[in-house]
Amino acid sequence: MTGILTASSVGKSYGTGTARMAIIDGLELSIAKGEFVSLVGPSGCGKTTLLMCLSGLLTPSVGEVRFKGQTVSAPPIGLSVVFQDYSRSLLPWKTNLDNVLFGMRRLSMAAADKKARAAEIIAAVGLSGFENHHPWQVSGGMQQRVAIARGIASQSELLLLDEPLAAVDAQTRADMQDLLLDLAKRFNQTCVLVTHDVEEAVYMADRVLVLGPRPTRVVREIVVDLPKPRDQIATREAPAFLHARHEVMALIRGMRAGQNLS
Amino acid sequence: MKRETRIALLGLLVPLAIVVLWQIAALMQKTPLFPGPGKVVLAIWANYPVILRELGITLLRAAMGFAIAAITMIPLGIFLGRIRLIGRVLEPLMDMLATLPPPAIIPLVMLFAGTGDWAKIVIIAYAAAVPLLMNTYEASHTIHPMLSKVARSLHLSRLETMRLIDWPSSLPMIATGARLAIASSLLVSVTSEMLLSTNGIGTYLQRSQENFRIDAGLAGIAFISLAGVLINAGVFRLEKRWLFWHYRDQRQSE
Repeated sequence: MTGILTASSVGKSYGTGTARMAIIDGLELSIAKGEFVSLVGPSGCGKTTLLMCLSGLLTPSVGEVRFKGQTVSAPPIGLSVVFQDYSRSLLPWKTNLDNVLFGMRRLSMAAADKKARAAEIIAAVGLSGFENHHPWQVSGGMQQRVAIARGIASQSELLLLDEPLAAVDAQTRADMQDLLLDLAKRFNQTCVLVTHDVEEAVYMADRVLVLGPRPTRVVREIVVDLPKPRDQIATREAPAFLHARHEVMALIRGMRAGQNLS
Repeated sequence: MKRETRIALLGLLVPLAIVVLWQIAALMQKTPLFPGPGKVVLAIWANYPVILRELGITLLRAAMGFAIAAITMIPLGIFLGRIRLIGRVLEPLMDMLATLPPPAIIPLVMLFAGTGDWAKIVIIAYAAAVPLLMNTYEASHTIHPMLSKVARSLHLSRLETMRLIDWPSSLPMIATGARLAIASSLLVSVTSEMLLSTNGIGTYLQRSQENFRIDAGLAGIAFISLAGVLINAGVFRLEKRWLFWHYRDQRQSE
């Protein structure tokens, strides 16, 4: 199958000789257009390094990543990254609206059209009325929504989400999960979510890819057979959800036990 | 709040007390080499057109030197911070220049550039360049790596990253460098005028002293301090306006 994003025999290592440390080894994956895929793995398995390789922010040591058939060597147009550290990823001297517009710099659109589009996306992430605030004047959850809006605004087709909700509080987190699912559908975004939260991975995804311990690769694919839209209460009680959660959790706990022995 | 006001008033009392003591001390002796505040006020009244003209010349030269330094050193600092390899190679040289007292180069510059306006401007530019370059470079190469990732993921070119990310995020430290550079420019402009006497407030101070007009000299010093206070207030206002996003914590706690 040829997906919008594919990785074939991707490996990433640092150092040489005896100091060589392999982070990723022989990783294969393919993401189909319109899919929501979660990547989970044991702590320190190299999830973030993998996401950086997928985004073009890092170059794999071996193998290649392709986005829409083109080899990725730098972040390609149409692919956006949403980072965990939202407070540092936004520009504090710009207003929320200007931060979103900053994501649209490369677009060949009239300034007025850009503004209208930015306003539309800001409304979609629920930040109408906060356009002229600065990021540091709004809550963490709102800052992350600005960052997501900036990502979508850059004419994105694929959102790479690097633990985007790890730093927001639990209640905001549930709301943001639903918001992300809604945005993915509304703006036709293919999403790859890296998370260490198994429940979140299953709740959000059409497919969960479980990563092995370092050097990591995809060790299991779990198709989440749950209806959409998801519901914070009903979905989490559905047998299919519990089953998928069990499977992912058991795999990861098994790997951690193995790691502790070695 | 009341306590604050009292401290502020006490703070104003200190200079006032000094002036009073100074006047008493001056009245107790006859030498013209120790004029009291009263005489200085008279000297200000008598000499202010000359002082303002000379001070204007000095400040204009200082401003030109500072401007030349700012226009060249800020972009250079950002460039060296971003292109780390060249920055690292030049670091020892920058450290050496940073410890050299700027007036030390005055004789050398005189040798090559003479004693005219441009010689002084070159010296001032050098004095301002060092703190500007050091601070900009330091700010630019310590920018959080997250911002570089953001720049790359938003498809910014290197030049755009420098202009749109590095320059604004370095501004707070550049402002600190600019404060040091302003102080340094004023220091060197007055010093260079004392050594290469033609005109300017430094020359004026030198002449006053040579003619035993200590009162006129003190009048000149009063104007220099006043100019310093005004420049500082101006810089402070600009910082408040341009760096509101950096000083946000202070503002929120107010």
